Order: sequence, then C-alpha cells, then structure tokens
Amino acid sequence: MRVRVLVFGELSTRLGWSLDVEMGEAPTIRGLLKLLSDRAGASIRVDGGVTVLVNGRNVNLLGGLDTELRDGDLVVLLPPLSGG
Amino acid sequence: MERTVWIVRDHLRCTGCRRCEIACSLHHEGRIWPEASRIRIFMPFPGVEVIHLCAQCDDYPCVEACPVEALRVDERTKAVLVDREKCTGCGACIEACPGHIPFLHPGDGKATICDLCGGDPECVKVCVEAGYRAIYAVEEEVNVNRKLFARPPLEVAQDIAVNLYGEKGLEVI
Amino acid sequence: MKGWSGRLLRVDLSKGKCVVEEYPADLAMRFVGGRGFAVKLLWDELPPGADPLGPENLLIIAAGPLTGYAIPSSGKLVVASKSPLTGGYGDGNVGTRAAVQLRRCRLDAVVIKGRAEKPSYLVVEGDRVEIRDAGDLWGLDAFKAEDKLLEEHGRDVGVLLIGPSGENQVRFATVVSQRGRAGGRPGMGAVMGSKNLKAVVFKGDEEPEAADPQKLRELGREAYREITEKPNYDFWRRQGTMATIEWCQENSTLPTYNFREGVFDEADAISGSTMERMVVKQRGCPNCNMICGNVIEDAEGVESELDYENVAMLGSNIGVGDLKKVAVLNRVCDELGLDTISAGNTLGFAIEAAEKGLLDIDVAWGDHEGAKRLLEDIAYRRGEAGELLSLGVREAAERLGGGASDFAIHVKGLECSAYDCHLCPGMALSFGTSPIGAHHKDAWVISWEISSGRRAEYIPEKADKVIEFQRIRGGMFECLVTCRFPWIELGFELDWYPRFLEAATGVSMSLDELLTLGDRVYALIRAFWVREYGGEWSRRMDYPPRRWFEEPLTKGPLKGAHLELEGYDKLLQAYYDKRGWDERGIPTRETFRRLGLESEARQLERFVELH
Repeated sequence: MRVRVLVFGELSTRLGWSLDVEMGEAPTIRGLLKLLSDRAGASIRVDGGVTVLVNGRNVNLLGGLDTELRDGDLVVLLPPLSGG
Repeated sequence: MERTVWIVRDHLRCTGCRRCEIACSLHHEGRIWPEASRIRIFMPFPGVEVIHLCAQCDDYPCVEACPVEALRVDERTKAVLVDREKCTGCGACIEACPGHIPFLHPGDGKATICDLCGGDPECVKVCVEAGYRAIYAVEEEVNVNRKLFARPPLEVAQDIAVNLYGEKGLEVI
Repeated sequence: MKGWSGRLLRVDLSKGKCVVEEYPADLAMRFVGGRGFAVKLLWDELPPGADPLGPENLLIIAAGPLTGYAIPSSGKLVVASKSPLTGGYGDGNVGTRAAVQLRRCRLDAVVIKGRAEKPSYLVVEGDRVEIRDAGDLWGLDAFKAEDKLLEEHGRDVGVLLIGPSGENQVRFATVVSQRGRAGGRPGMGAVMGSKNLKAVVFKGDEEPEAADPQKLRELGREAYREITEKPNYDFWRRQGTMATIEWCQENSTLPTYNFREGVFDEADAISGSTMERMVVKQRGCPNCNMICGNVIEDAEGVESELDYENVAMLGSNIGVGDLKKVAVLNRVCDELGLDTISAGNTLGFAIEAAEKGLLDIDVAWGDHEGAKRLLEDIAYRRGEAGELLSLGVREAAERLGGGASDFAIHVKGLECSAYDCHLCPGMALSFGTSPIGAHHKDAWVISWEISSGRRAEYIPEKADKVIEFQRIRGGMFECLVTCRFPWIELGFELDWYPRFLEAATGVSMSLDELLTLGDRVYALIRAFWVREYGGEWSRRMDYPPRRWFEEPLTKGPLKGAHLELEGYDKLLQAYYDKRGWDERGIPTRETFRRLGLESEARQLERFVELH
C-alpha cells in the first residue's frame, strides 16, 4: 500500500519535495508521520504547527492522527507559514 | 616576523592615468567599471593625485564594526574579505575606517574592499609595467603603522599640496 | 532624549517654509513613533472632513526610536495621511535607505502640508532643508526619476518618490523607493502627487545618540547571529515570502479570478520553487540580514523584484499562469508607482465586469498584455475605463452599477490582499478590522488558523488571536518601526525588543506596555475613522466582502465552502467585546480612559455619542 507525499518548506530540504511511501497494514497518519519524522531526523507534529492534508483536506476535518490512509492517497505536509 | 604582500603607495609618482582602476575592475567585475574598482584615484586639485586603497590596518576596525560578521581577515594575504551574502549594506565598516575607504558597490550595494587579488594584486602589475611605480608590492614587515596610509583623501591631498607647492599648497585645498 | 531625536520637520509647501522643531517628550512616551506618531499628529492637526487630495491633508513620514540602528531589520519608515481611496486613516510602511537617512538627519518624522505651486521635491540634508524645482523629474517613471536623483545627490542618499500614477492622483498610488519597495497602499502616493511633491531626498550624517551605544551594538550583533541560527533561516533565504504561493494553493486560499476561487490550475508555474530557478539577485531593506526581495528577469528581459502578494494578485487573481509575465506586470506597477495589490485586485474586478458586460475593455483572464495596457491607462487615467478604475473598486463599482458592488473585493474601500477567505473566518475578521481597510499586514492569522485545524469554526479564540497579532504587528512593530519578519517568519523572540528599546532610549517599557501601545494606537485610528465618517459610520464597515458569504468555492478540495454571516457577526462581537468597543465598533469611554486617551475621547464626542 503506497501513498504519495508532497513536502513544502524547510522539511523539503530533509525529505525532498515529493516521495512515495510504502506502508504496511492499517496505515494511519500517525504511523506515516512517525516514519517521516525518523527519516527526516526531526519531529513532524501536527500540534507543532505542521499542517497535514489528505487529498486536499486537513486531517483535523477527517480523523485527526487516526485518519486512515488508502492506496494512492496524496498527503501534503505544510509548514506553519507566516509570510506577507 | 611575518611576510605578507602589502601595497606601498607613493602619491607623488601617481600621474592619474587610472590604469589601476581599469585593471582592478576588469579582474573583479569582468569589465571596465572604475566605479567598482577597489582602488580609487582622487584628484582634489590638478596635479594632486591621491591613491585611496585599503591599508589592512593591524586592528581592522572595519571587521570589528560589522554587526553581521560579514567581514573577515584572510589568513594568508591579510586582506579584508567581504561575505556579500551576509552584508546588509549598513555602512558601519565605512564609518569605522579612518579613511572611509570601503564603499558600497554600485551594482549590489554591498561593502567592497580590496582583497589584494589573493596575494598578486593586478593594479600593481599595470602601474609597474607603465613605469610609474606609484603603487608597488612589498613583502612587508608587520610592525609598520598601516593607519598612516588609511586617511581621508582630502587630508592626504593637503599634505601632497604642501609638498608640491610649499605653504601655498594649503591655500589650494 | 536618547534614541528618539526629539525633532520633527514641518514643511508647508504652499508657503515654501520648512522648520525643524522639537516635539514634546510626551508624544514619544505615549505613542513611541512610526504609526503612533502618525495617527496622533493626524488626529490633532488634520481638520475633520479635509479633502484628502487638497492642500489641507497632511502627509506624514515617521520613523521610530529603533529605526536606523544596526539591529535586525530596522530600515523601515511609515508614510501616512488621510486616504483618498477610503476616506479614513491610511498608512503603509516602506523598507528604504530613506528610513536610515531620515534618522541620520536627526529627525524622527516629517509633516508635510499645503501644495507647491509647481512640481517640486524636498532635499533634507542634515540641518538644511530645501524645496527644489522638479520640472525635469515630473512625468518620469519611478525608476528613472530615482536614478536622476541619485546621480544628482549621491548614490547613498535615501529617496521616497512617486511615479506617474501618484502624479495623476490615482487613488491607490503608493510611495516608492529603490525600484520595488513601496508603501502607503491607500493612496499616500496620490496625496504626494496632489501636493505637487515628486520626491523627498534624505542625506544625513549621524543617527540620534543612543542611551547605551555599546550595549545596543552588542545586542545587535547577538541578534543578527541569533537570526541566522533559526531553523527556517536557510529556507527563507531561498524563497522569501514566495513559498506562500504553494502553501495557499494547497489550502485553497490562493486568490483566483477575482477571489472567486481558492485554487489556481497554474499555481506551480508561479510558485516559489519556480522562482528559485530564475532568481538573478536578491535585494533587501537596510540593516536586514534575512533579505526577502527576489529578483528575476521578466518576460521583457527587465529585472523585477517579486514577493508573494504581487505574484498572487497579478498572477492567480487575474489568471496569468506564467511567472515571467506576472513579473512584467509587477515591474510596470513599480515603475508607475501603483500598489501591486490594489492593481491586481482592480484588474480582476475589471475583467469580471467586462465578462458580465458592464465594462467595455479588451482584457481577458490570463491576458497579461491587455492587463499591462490597462495598468498604463489607469496610471494615466486614460479613457473611460482607466479613469473609472483609477478610483479603486469600491467607487468604480458604485459608478458602474449593475451589481458590480457584489464583486468589488474590498473592506472600507481598500482592496483585499492575497488571501481568499471563503473558509477562513479568522483571516476574514483580520481583513474586516485592519485599521486601513482590507490588508493582511497587521493580523496575518491565516497560518495559525489553518494549522489549528479549526478553520471552519467561528470560535472567540480567533478574535483573540487577531487582536494579539494586531497588537504586535500593527502596534508594536509599526511604532518602533522595525520589520516583523524576524519574529513571525523565524521565531526571533519578542522580548528582544524591549531590550533594544532600553539600550537605544534608556527608557524601560515592558512587552506588555508595548502591546498596550498597540491598543492605544488602534483605538485612536478607529476614532479617526469615526470622526471622518460621522453619521455614516457603522459596524458594517468591519465586514468582509459579500462574495465570501454568498458565492461558495466551486473548485478544489474545499468546493462548496463559504463564510457564514451569523458566525461572522458573533466573531466580530467577540472582537469588539475583547477590545472594549461598543456594538457599533466604537471604543467606549472607559476604553479610551484606560488607554490614556481621555482628551481624544472628549474631542470625538463632538462628533458622535460615546457609550
């Protein structure tokens, strides 16, 4: 089961802009973030301001960290941004 | 005793031809751009040419003054090097220099200071080649007061004028 | 006084008189500087009801006690006046050498009134002030005019000037500097033009003496180093604010087709990542080490300095999906001295009006050549469309009729900047309550709102957050006059600022006092609006555009989203309650008293009853 992850901002310097991630049984956002945090060598936390979208919708509007992922889902990680 | 390259300046030999400005800008900018030359010749009064160039003061007040640590001293050549990425163009180094020798680059506004061309200065080559030797390189002993050579051009010009014209020199500048 | 110079310059262009005077220490203690000085001076000295484009209006240029010192991002000043676009308080801030040079003339502010008989410019050189003839500058675009001034007065002088649109008093003409820095969205450039004032040149030699110069220098050094060590510093240096394009696209907040949608098909082509591959140089404000001006070569081969607002408003908002073409429009606005945000918004309005058969112009979505021609018509007020659109979307819509006001995207007459708020009530509140009309500078809460995961809700915490940001960004930073970016973009801590202030001035103001300053300034600005609008003032002026309530998004993952009026009503009420403003949005007597504005309140009572 594979999801596509797009990464924006500073995290992209650690993970690249776009990656395909293989996940095992019953994959959730929580599991994905743990996997990516390990890979990035930095903690990726929703309560730390990182916005996580699944197929364009914020995970907080779905099931939070327990949001289930399906094959082919697009996950986007956005930094807390403040420009303008 | 350390040996480094230092540029001696002999104002009375300077004819104002400005080959040095051409050579410097060609080397650093890739084109003839006297406004961006690190060595600048001023002529406050006809016949009175002042060579204005970093003297690598022993205490490097410019480096000391920079609030963003964009200036440092090259270990080998002892020249001042500017990190253009860090420089914010604030002008503190210019203020700190007793002769106001650094300037803000006409292109990007960053502090611009002679870097001795890495140890083989171009300006010296053309001046010596022309036979003037108003500037020439020496391997200098460290205990010379460099600050004598970092003075505002008008002050230097006054001294030169007095040299050339005697006391009348003070009237022309 | 230390830190503050204690001096301001008064210029009367009608009489040709320039006088430097000392201002009372009380002004500095209560209002600190920048926007604080501007609103207080305007309150005290501008006759209510004055014509913004008449000689009575005051143009104020104000710095603060930190401006110009070698501390992070202190090279900014505020330009302010009564706005010809909105009829209320208008200001902006500009990052420019002029900020540093103004302070090196040992001046904290300049107050300009009257009108010169013929095109003129001001030269402020140390203690000498001259009004000079600008005959050979008038008519030149802002780039050429500035080049001439730098040739004449020296490369290191600071210049504030206007382009042809300011000369022609286009309502959203700004004050510009250094090829792309600009400020005064609500027509401060038009005010300058109405005074026949082409430029102000500053050249000084020494900043006001600091209370503890050694300490200030040390703090500055530490601060600059601290900034470069922040985790986001390197990425910021790569894209500046342009990273916001992708962020907004992903969150459906990128203004598209006149704020009809929040996603743009060609967002990638105008994104920060695309820009990175084209950058030819970077430019920044004086004393800043996190420079954010990224320069590319536009489609005509000319350099153009980009940042998020310009690119979104002149790109996705009008359907131009090619960064080099957007850069042409951006550069043309800078040359003409037009606010890029209002320009992009007005173009979007115009194209929609044409689509609906209300306006006869030959410009379509994505048509950057047509847009460029229209911008020039606006700057020169040429043709029916050029003349109409030069008035700003609120006025243009009113004159057009036919329901055009439904798609005039503004608050209080100032065109919204680049955040589509169909599903961002907090940001909508920010636009609604920004003190100059719709502008994001004061309370950029959209990132917090979306990260919070509760973007669809109308919770009072959002009102609290807007106020928090307004106090910091719209209050403290606008009065110290330093840039908010080190704090908001990189997390540079706010408690540096009281330390800078103490080293500069010897005065110890806690962070809390500096935030209360924000409340004071906001209350006085609100009083100014109410005094100008009188009986026409209503809380409706604090509402965001109708489109976000009544025309849901039709594209993207948030299709169907829209704001809810009842929800917004409650949010606004929570805002008023927290601020101590009554249900009309006017500060109560008690609030004025608490903020030390009793005499201003009494003056306001001649115009409106206070609760």
